[in-house]
Amino acid sequence: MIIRNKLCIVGLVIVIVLFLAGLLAPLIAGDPYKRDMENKLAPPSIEQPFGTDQLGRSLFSRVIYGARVSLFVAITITTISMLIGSFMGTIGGYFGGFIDDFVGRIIDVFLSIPGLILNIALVGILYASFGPSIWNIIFAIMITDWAGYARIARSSVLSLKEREFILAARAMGANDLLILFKHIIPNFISGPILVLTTLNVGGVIMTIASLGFLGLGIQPPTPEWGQILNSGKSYITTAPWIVTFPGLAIALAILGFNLLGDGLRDALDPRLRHLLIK
Amino acid sequence: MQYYVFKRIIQVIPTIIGVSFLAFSLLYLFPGDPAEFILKSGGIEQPTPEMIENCRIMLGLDKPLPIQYFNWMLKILRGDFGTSWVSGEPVINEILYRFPASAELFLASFSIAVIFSFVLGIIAAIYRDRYVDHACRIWSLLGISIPNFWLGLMFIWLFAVYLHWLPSFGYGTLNHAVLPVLTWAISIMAVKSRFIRASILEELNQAYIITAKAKGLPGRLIIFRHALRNALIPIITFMSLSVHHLIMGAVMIEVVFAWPGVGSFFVESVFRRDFPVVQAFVLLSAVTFALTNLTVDLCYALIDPRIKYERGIKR
Repeated sequence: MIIRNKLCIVGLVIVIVLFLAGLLAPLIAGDPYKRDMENKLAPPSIEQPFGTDQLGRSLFSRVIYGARVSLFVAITITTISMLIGSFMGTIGGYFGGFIDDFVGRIIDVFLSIPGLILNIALVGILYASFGPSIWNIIFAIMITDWAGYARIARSSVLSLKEREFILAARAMGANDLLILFKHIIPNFISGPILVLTTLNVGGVIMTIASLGFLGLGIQPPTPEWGQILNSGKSYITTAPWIVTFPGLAIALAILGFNLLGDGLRDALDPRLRHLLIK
Repeated sequence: MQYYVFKRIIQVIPTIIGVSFLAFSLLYLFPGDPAEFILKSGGIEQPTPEMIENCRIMLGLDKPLPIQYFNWMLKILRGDFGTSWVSGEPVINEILYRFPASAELFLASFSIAVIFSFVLGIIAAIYRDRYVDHACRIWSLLGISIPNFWLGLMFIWLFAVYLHWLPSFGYGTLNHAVLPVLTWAISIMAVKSRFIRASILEELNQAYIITAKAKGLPGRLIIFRHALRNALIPIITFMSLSVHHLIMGAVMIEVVFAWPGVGSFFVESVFRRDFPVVQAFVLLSAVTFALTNLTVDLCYALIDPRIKYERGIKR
């Protein structure tokens, strides 16, 4: 058990470092857009710790600013889909009957399409319709992401609403809104949804990077880790550092959120392990 | 029994209808007029309004939406997924043509991954909380966190660029398959070996294991003859639920190694705006998932008498 807690602390430290890197990017790193064709494809050195890319831009700056981009997009997506998913799940689980059947069916439909596949298709279509925009990516990932929250929220509400304290509240004359907002929602938001959200940030960072790697994600020149890998892979024979550092950053970010989420799950409720296993 | 089978099959139908409706409605997010796009990609630079109108009628785009959907579904049930806007070939032929390459890659990676995850999972369960177990845990944590496409790039650099042992991408010989299979198998293994360990440990807490211990069975025998056998049900369920990850993994791995399979074809089609192919791939991947789970559930009902037939959908 000790190793688990240690790992959770490691996860927390990684996440804090990422946030600091994202927030303090202008203080830590130089301009990620500044080109220097004289020094293109330069290997890592003292001045350029991660080397430079095909346009002579500092990879260190691009990776640090990449944390800002990935975190911003991932947290936006996670927050919105957490809200939508919890709302849908709560409605279905609490009111039951045909509302629940309907919500349950929609959740089933979205959970049976592999997320990344629908993301790729949607981003492709949205790109063709509206041109490149960060909001295409946010929208496309959100569409597939909310269903996981809805499922967890629904099953949490189903078990919570049978508990004694809810019956007591109802006996004292509380109405549905009061019961939902005062007793049910705080109960699952602080438990399973919190754990799922933490783990999900890592998953969304992976999805953003995958889309970027396919060339469908956040478009250049904005620095995004997956997209740097995509443009750097043609230089793998001459400048392997371009594909090394952004990949390390993706892996580190996902590792951080996974460790933190696992730790939270064990601390809050070990039984959740079954619920949240992917 | 028949009732259970019937009920379980009925449960899948609304999901499949929902998925098909979603795939169908993707067309309405598509910019511009599909008829115009088809004519233009057929080589007509400036189609006249009359030509576009004829094409719309030919494609059935002039009919009301529900009728369009109904006709589209009827065609799909007959195995007709429309024709590619780029090549003009039937979509299903294009997919079937690339299917063997994807199947080879999948079967090789998946079987290697399953064998090694059982070995690792069992070792980690036997030596629970010892160094071997911690090593397996860290290995699988890294495997989950490292994106498979980046692992692929790193392997290309190490084995193809630096050591010159293997070709970096392409298809044809066994050498071409080594890196994609290795990359994919490692990323599949990371999650599976952890789950196998957890399922075996779960079984080891059961009362019948205490009985087995009490009657003096050796530890290895308990694990292999009792715990592992009973743990197989959750393990197989978990594997059938991972169809999603496998489809997504296939897409990324095929793109990294330029493997000419269905996954890389899907991504190419997104770039070429070959809408019917994209639609078919979305639909087929969801149906594959739903049907795999249905099959696994039905197999359980056949092989394991303990499973009560009222059991709901496992997600």
